Amino acid sequence: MNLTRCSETAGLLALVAVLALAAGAFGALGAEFDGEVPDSAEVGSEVEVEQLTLTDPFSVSDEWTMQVRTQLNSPQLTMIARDGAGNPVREVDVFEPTTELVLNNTAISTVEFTVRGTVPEIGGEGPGQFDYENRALESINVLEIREDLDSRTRSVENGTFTLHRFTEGSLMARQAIDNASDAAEEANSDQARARIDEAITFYNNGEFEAAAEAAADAERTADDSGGMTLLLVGGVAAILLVVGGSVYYLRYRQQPENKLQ
Amino acid sequence: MKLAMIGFGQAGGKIVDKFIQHDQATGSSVVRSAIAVNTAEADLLGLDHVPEENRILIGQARVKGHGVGADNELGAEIAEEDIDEIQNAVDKVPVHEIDAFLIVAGLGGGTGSGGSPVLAKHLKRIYTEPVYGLGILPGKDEGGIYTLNAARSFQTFVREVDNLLVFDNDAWRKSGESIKGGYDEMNNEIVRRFGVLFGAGEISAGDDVAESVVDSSEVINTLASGGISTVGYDVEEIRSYQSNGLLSRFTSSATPDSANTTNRITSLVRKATLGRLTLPAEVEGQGAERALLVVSGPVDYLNRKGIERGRKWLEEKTGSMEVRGGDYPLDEANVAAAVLLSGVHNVPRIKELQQVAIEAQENIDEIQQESEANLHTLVEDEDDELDPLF
Repeated sequence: MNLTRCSETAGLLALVAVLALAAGAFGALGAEFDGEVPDSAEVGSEVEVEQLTLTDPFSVSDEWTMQVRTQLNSPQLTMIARDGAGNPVREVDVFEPTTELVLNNTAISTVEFTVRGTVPEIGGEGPGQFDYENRALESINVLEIREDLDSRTRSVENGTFTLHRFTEGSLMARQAIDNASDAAEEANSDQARARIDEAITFYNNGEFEAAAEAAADAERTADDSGGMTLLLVGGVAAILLVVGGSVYYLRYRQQPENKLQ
Repeated sequence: MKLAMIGFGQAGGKIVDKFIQHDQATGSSVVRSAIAVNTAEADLLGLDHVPEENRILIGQARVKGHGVGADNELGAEIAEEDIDEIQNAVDKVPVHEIDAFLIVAGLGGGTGSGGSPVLAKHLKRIYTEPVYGLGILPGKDEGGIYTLNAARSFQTFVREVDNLLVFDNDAWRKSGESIKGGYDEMNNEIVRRFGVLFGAGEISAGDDVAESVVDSSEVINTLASGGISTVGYDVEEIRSYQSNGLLSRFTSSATPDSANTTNRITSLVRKATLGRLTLPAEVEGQGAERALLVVSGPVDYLNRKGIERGRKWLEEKTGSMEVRGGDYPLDEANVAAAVLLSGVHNVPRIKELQQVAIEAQENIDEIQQESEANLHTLVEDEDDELDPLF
């Protein structure tokens, strides 16, 4: 056996083992939750997340400090760590947008979260901005769970719950643009698509009435064009029918009938 | 054979209309000119194929376009009075292109029954071309007046034309079928039979040329016997026949057996002659003065031997020495035999028609006399005590 070869093989095996361990460590960062978080809310409305439970806190890390954040205004964050029997082991209740819970007691089996707060406005003093095509810019993190390492924090996989925000005007404008887009695609109308682009620009500028108006206009254009297309298709079909019929009739006429019977 | 057809009266107009339709549908060219003459405007309006400028309404001064009401004497009078109007239409006929005139009329009605002999007399006086008549006899159950009209018109019409071809509606009425319901089918029969006869020899470019052509002169010579003619016809479908269409280029059709072909033709000739003639007549013995046989069908299914045998059989059967024959090749899956028997004498139906007409005439006279007497009895008082106003 060649020694050099042997050491190369051992090195390769070691690399595979390290990679596997690293993957295991990353895999352990994933968290599992029970419960639901609302996915959209109107700006200014009260939002409450209740009965959201982290079911296996130590799957993230063996001992770790959990940092919890929310982007809701006037927030209240509550965390109750319970043992296997359901008894509270540790509890945190703050009126802050961020707080921490140290998870170093192996008796802790679940962590319950409660988040309350008001949906902040989009743009202006609030985070994000109106963007029809990129909904993420209109969303906030209603709850984000991070692992606090000494010098930095990192996201816990599956630990971020977003909430899409809307205003009365933006909702109406978005729906109008959605409808117009469907109609434009159906009618394959470039004219309607151009008007929809204008509507989107209005939307992104927060001019929802103008956006809705442009979208409605685009939808009408698409419908008309669809009607025209239908009419055109019908016309072509009719012409084909007439031409085909005439050809058939002429051929029929040219083919003499029986003279004898 | 090219004809100038003149449909006189309702039935005549309809049949001429049908002849044109048949020409168009089958690509034949028998009808060179078509004219429809009538005293009833509605009948002229009901035509589809006769050109409008050739629809002549006569007797407007007398009957105002409402017809003569089966009064054929009035029909004859009006035809005589307005003969110039009919002549104006006939003037447009390219006479040098036609072989004969054919006047078509129902003999039981008024306008055609009365007018067609008048027109025949007029045309014969002016033109050298033969003038033939195609007369339609009414059914027995159509009523006494129609039978009387037909008998009187028949006599006159035969006298005035070079030959009268007759079609008897009664012989063609199917049991249980009304005369009216059967008109269309009868008109089809008329057009098909006479279409084959007159169409023979009219070959257009690309058609197969007959081995022994039936030219218009053969038809004219056969009809030159004068008197009355009847036509027999029979047809048989060839199931295995492939038309010379696009498909036949890729399929090979077997040449038919010669013996079968001969037998088929002789059998068709017999059935045509002894079966339903347009006017039922006894053909045995001296049954017809002249005869013409036209056998038509795909060229492979026509042979000289078969036609010759059929012709011979006709000679023996009718006792005529002038039996002409020929073929008329057509690319369709049928073989047909048309037999024209000219100068037929033994026609029981005509005798019967005349008998019924005489009885009808007597009855009418009797009823008229009785009716006058009865009216007198009713109106006048017994002792003639009342005086009329003036």
